[in-house]
This record gives sequence, C-alpha cells and structure tokens, in this order.
Amino acid sequence: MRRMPDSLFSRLLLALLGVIGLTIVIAGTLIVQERRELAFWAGEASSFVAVIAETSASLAEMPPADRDAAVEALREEPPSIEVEFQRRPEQSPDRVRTVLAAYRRALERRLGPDYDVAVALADREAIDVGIPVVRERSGPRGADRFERGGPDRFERRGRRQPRQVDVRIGLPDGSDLDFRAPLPRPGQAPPGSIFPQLAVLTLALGVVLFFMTRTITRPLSRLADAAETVGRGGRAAPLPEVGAREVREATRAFNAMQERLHRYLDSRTSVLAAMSHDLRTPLTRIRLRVESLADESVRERFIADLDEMNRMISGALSLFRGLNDDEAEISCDIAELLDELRGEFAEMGVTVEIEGGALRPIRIKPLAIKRCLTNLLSNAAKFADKPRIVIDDGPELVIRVCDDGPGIPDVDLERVFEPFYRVESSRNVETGGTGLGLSIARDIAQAHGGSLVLRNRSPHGLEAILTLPRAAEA
Amino acid sequence: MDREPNILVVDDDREIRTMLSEYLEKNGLNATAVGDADSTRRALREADYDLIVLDLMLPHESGLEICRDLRARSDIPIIMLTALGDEVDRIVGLEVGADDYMAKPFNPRELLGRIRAVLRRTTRERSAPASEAVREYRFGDWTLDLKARDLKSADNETVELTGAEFRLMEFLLERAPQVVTRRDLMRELRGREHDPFDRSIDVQVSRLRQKLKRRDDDPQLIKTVYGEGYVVGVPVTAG
Repeated sequence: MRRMPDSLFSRLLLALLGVIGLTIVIAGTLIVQERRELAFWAGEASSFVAVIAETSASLAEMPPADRDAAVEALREEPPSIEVEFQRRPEQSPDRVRTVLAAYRRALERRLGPDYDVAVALADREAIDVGIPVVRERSGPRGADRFERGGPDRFERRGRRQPRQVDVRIGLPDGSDLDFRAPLPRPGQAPPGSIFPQLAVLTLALGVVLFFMTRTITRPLSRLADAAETVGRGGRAAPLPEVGAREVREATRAFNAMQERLHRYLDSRTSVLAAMSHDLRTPLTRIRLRVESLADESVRERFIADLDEMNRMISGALSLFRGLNDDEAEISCDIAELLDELRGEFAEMGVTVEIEGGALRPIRIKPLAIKRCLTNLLSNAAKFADKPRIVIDDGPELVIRVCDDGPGIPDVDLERVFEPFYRVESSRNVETGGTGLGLSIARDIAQAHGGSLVLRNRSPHGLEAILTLPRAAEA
Repeated sequence: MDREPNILVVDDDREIRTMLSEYLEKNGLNATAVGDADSTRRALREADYDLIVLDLMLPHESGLEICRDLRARSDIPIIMLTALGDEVDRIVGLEVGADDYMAKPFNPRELLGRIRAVLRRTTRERSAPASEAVREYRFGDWTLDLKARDLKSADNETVELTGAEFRLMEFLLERAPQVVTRRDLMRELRGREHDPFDRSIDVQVSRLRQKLKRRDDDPQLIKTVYGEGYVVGVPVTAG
C-alpha cells in the first residue's frame, strides 16, 4: 500500500487513466479478434467447411453400400476450390490450435449434434485436398490421434509444420469420413498503425484527464492550505469559490467560518484590551492612594494584593494574545535563540546546558518561541540547579527542557496546562507564578502547528517536550 | 539645578493625575497635571518643563502621537505610562523616542526614581559635553557626533537616533573595548536595577543594530557577550 500515490489528485488521475486504459485494451483486443475471425472465414476455410459439411451430409443419407461409389464419383469431379499451395508462413502453436478449434466449431454448427467432428494437423501432406475418404471405424473412438470435444491436438512431425488439416467426421450411423483440407492462412493481422493510434488517443486522454483532475482537486488543496493557515492562527485570504458544486459549497462554508472566527477573535481581543486598560486604571488609583496610608504594614499588604491582581491580569492577557498575535514567522537559527536564553538565565545565576543542535534554520515566530522556552526554563530552574536543553532535529525539531527535580504526579501531567492550575505543592505565590506559564507555552507550540507535552523522567525529574514541525517549509 | 524641576503629568484620569502630582510635589518636584493633547501643548507653550510623564492612552490623540510630535522639535525627556503593559506596546513607546516607560499600575516610588534618574542624566548631558574633550566617536564606517547628537556613515549619510538610542550608543562607545553588562546599561540609562525579564535594553540594542546594518553582509558592530552583556566589536577612536 506504500506505493499507492498519496494525493487525491494522483489517485483520481490514476484511477481514471486505469479504467480508460483498460477499456481501450479490451476494446482493442476485441477488435483485433473480430478482424481475425472475419479474415479467417472470408478466406478458403469457409469454403472447405461448406464442402466438407455438404459432402458428409449427402453421404450420410446414402446407404453405406453406395458410399464408395459416390466417393469415387467425387474423386472424378473434385470440388471447385482453388487451393494455392504457395508457401505459407509457419504459424505459432497457439495460433494453429485456435484455427483447428475454429474449424471444428464451424463444422459442428453446420452438421448438428448427430455428427462427430474431430480435427488434427495432418501428419503428411497429400494433394487430394477436399476429397473425402470413407473408412470403417477401426477401433474405439479416442484411441486415434484425433480428439473430440477436447482441445484439438496437433503434433509436429519432421521439421516442417504440416500445412494441411485432417478432418474426421463421424457419421450418425457410426462410420467415419476423413477429409483433408489446407491449414487456413492466418487472418490478416490488424494494421500496425492501430497501436500508435491508440497510444496517441491514450496520451490525449491522459492530458485532458490531467487538467480535469487538477481542476477538481486544486480548490481542495487550496482549502486544505487555508485551513492549515487558520489552524495555526494565521489569516488566509478568502478563497475564490470555484470548481464543482460540492467544492464551492465547502469553500463558501470555509470562508464564512474564517470570517466569523476572526470577527470573534477580534472582538475578544478588543474587549480584553479595553478590560485591561479599564482594570489597570482603578488599580493605579488604588496604588497611588495606598501611598498615603500611614500604617506601613497595611500598606505592604495592599501592595502585595495589588501586585498579585496585576500579575493575573498580565498573565491572562498574554494567554489570550498568544492566540492571535501579529508576530511574523521568520527563518530563525534556534541555536542563536537558545544561546541568548542561556545568557539571560546566566545573569540570574542559572546555568543552562545545551545539547545537540538544529541542522538548519526553522521558520518560527522568534519572540513567541522565546517566551515559550523562557516559561519552560523558568519552571525547570525552580526545581533544579542545572536545567538542560536537548535538541533533536529531523523531520521535526524537538526541543526537550529537562530538570532533575522531583517531577510532578502523573495525574497532573496534563492538568498543569490548564490556566491557573497549580500542582498542590506549589500553590504559593513564591514558586507558583501566575499558573499561566505552561498554558501560554502550549498555545505558542500549537500556534506553530507543534505540540508541547510533559513527561516524568526516571529516576526523577521532569521534561517538557516541545515539537515544532518542519513540514510546512519544504 | 537651582530650582525645583518642573514635571508635566499627562493622564486622562483626573484622580490619577491629581494624586500623582500631589505625590511628586510632596517629594520635592513641581508638578502640573493636564488631561489631553491640547492642554499638553498649551502647557508646554506657557512654561518650561524638565520632563513629561505621558499616558499612552489618551482621548482624541494618543500619547504616542504626542510623543512623536514632541520629539520632532524638542529633546524634553518623556516617561511613558501604559496600561497595556504588553512588552510590544511598551517598546512602541521607546521607538517613538520616549526615554523610559512604566506599566500601570506602577509603584509611585519607582516612578519617582526614574524621573530623578532621567533628570540627572539630562542635567549632566547639558553641562558636560562642552567642557569635555570628546566631540565625536569614530568606529567602523560610522561617526557618532556628540554635539549634533546624530550618527553619520562614511558616505556622510545621517541616521536618525532617538534620545534613548543615542545615549545607549554613546555609553557603549565610551566604555569600549570593555564589555558593558545589562546591569550597567539599566543603571546608566534607566536609573534602576536590572530585571532579567525586562527586554527594553535588548530591544533598543537590536533596533540600533538594524540601523547600523544597512546591508546584509555588514558586520555586527555591537556584539553580544553571552551571560555578560554587549560590546562594540571594532576599534573606537574618540576625537
């Protein structure tokens, strides 16, 4: 099944070409056979069949005693068939067999079921072609070289292929009549030009089918590309509604979906921007008012609450913004980006080890990916002294951020991606952050068409596996 | 400075601008509060100000437009206040020439610290250059003119720098060939301690790099020293 072409276009084209090709081959074969048959019976063979059948029928009606005399009379007046004993081309065994069978079938049709017909290639050539020889049956049928009903036999004796056919007719009363007839010349071969003509026809059909199929499938692949773009958080230009009705309907539905989706996202973004501004204005007022509080400890507590509220607003905003930010994808050297990160963490006193490297640049939104990796590294840095980054490049770029901390319970591996979810043990502000870092990181991974999962390492530690596909850049 | 510095506070929220001016007054500064672009321009015509605290979101005309407009004709230090709080939005403020920015809700003491840092720097700049010998730095194909406060290429093309970019370039050149840490840069340019997640210095460095890189094969003049900071990677001559 591997060999099966993958795209709808190539499958459709292949299926259509296959069916049409098969039809042409079958039609061609039938035409060739028909022509051969026609040629065969238009020639001397049909005359001999007629003579043999008529002679057998008239002899069968005579009393057996008169037959010899009748045969003698026939010898005096040979049937008026001209046989050209020019050299005939040797014919292939298959062909000879076909000819013998055709002979037999024609005679059986003429004579009816009362007669028994057998045909064989002559073992030697004689000149008295078409003259019957009456003979009494000498043994049980089937013991001679003739065969009845079954495949017609011939044997090659000597070096040359005999050019005559022995026909034995079993009369209804049990006696046999032997005839000798020329091996009919093969039917004229179909003109050789038919094959190139068929080839040209097939080629022309192929070209027509190629463009037809492409017209059908192209809107589909455009639709798939656009869906992919939208899925990654991008914005695709409305697709032209072309092609078959079903495709047009799908395109229209897609355009409408995209339009509604973006309207929804846009309105959500503007609501959030407004909300953030509107929330921060009263927060700023409170913050300024707090400065005039005389009691230092009350002031400190107010400030801490305000800071936490602000952190949550910022976190929620960056989570939502991650879905439709405007950063452009550029080709980026991941090693450079990681080096930068390493430098930044070094300033905070965190040593980050980097293993492996990318084979070539990858198309990403650098700021978003950096935010994603920063979130992952900050998590790792909280639980281990030396977080480690391992890069594997291949069909996809896999970046693993590992630590040797305690890890997290397996049940939480997926839940930590939920906004504001925190593993129970980290539910305090000092280590917990806003509880949005991983949600944001995963959003960024998914916006790149990739994925982000967490896995516990053995014997202990946690690794975050960020997978970024390279497929789209080929 | 022999008189108390005059600060213009621009914010559309009356309570914020009032409380902020009161806070600044209480801490030894003269503060005037206005609420929109028109009154800002009027105030600037009527009196001399040493610094503007400018809210990004204003009715009719945004803080960004005011800032861009002011920068076209004056070097007055500007600190942006933004409620958007997104890195990108804050960086926009720096791009139109603000000297620093603060995200709302801000710590008033920190704002005060930054105001003082910016004032200190501008005062020193106004008094210092005339007396010192250095009038320009030459590095690579470039000349940084300290008097005209601009950057010229070898073919005498002038590249516009914002106030903050100019100070960053000057500081890097002054210290070359030493590596300047982000901490030094924060302290010198922003008057505050370094926060590793504050990318504003890196944003300004990369904008400066873009301006210094006119062709793809131009060498990177400002080099990153990982884990340390930035350094000018070519010989620098002061003249």
